[in-house]
Amino acid sequence: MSHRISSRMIAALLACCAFLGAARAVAAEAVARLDGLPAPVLVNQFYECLLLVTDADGAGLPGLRLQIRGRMPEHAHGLPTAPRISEESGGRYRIKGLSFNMPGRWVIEILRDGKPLLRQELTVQF
Amino acid sequence: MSRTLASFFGLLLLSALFVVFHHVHAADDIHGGWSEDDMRSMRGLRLSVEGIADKNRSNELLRRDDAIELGRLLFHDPGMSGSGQVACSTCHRPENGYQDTEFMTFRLDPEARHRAPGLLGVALQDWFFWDGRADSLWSQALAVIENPAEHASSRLQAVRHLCARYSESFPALLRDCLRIDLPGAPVHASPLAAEENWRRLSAAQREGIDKLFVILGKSIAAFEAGRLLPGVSRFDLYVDAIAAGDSAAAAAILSEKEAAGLKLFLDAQVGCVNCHNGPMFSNSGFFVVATDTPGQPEHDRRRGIEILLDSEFNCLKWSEPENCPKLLYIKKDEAETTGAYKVPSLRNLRHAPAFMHDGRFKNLEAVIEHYQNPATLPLRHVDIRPAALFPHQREQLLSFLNVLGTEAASK
Repeated sequence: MSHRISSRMIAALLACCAFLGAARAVAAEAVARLDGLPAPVLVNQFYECLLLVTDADGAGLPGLRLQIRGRMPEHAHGLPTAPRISEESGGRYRIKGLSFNMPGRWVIEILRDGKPLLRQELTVQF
Repeated sequence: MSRTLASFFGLLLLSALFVVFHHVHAADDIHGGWSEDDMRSMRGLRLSVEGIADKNRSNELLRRDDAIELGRLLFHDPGMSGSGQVACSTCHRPENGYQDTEFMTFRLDPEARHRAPGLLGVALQDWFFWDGRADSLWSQALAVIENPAEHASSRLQAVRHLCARYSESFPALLRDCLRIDLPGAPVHASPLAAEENWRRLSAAQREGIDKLFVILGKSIAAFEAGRLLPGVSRFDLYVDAIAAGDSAAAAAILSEKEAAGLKLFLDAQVGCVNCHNGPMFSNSGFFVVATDTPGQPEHDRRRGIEILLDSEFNCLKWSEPENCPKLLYIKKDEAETTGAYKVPSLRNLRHAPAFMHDGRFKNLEAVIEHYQNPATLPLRHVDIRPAALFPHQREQLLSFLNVLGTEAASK
């Protein structure tokens, strides 16, 4: 009897672990990367780039509600423009209107439903 | 004991030699010791007018000789103004670098909150007026004509004058003058300056007047873009000499003190170059530098954006979206735009009678003093930190700013 109970407990525990693992996978499933920004990025130019968002298996994630914001960690201000993100196809999103008006370290953040999805640092030069 | 004394004097002698050596070689170091970062910054600040075409994409008359000539005549013509007394050149004095040396802005309107800036290189700007409420040079000119504190006129009077005086001399530009049925009366009509009269005009008349009014603005802008350009300064010659690796030539262009001022200017910790970058020493941005007056109505960037989006002459109303990236991606963040003003150019300040958006400082010493310890209120967004310069460094910085005039003669 006690043996059966402990088997059930172990099975439940395993199921629970499997569920938690799956939950973690859901939480971490979106993988995002920026593509197409030149190096170096220069001040006072307009840039356009691609944002690729996939699940853990590499399949594109369409239909996401994404926002972009940026800032200079050493300063009090954000980006000089309000860039726009538009969906192209299957997890490909195009960012237009990106610009930087000061040299130095900038941080770009992509938000999905208001939550951080990607954080990328870049150094802007003259 | 004597050995100790000898060591002491030996050390003293070495120290003295080091000081002398360092002093003698300081001149070489300042002109020959620029880092790669410094060089990149300097190349970015070197005068170039290549960007003008790109920054004036919504003005198809930019390179036309007839538009440039018409614009030149209009710039000096008081006939468009309400009183018949005020031309663009009344405030922007040609003999003084197109600066408002006589404080005409405030004489025309004692309540004026902004002063007229110098115009050399104005076509390289992204935004116009201190609050950036115009996104093109041509729409800036139109706003001045209908401003009761400046030309105090209306588009009807301006277009009537344009057609009467110039349509024969500029037939290609002003052929619409022959097609439009311009009313003889009233004197003024405009949705801004004389709304009742404007409503009484037919739709065809209003459309025709607007089209000619835009040609007027684009011609003035073509003149400014083609003729009001800054000359090469001693700074530009210095950059050329340094880029050519000729530190001896460089030393003949800038004094040690001026070069030390340049070094401070380029120092990211001092902060000048963060905003004052690019060939006109402005990044075309808007920043809060503790010059606004909290609680009072302000023509700051926040208000400028509202006016611009509402303007019937903004880029998107008269040009294709691809010509209007600044407006298409305009930032509206209220926290950062409240109390923010445009970064002005630092070139050709020799004739500038006053500084900051409201002309509150009468000399550059006072401006540098402001940045030394900007007075800010708690919880206010501000984009600058105290510059923390020693008195001799402030003098060096000042001497460098004076290098940015057009006079390219030797020091």
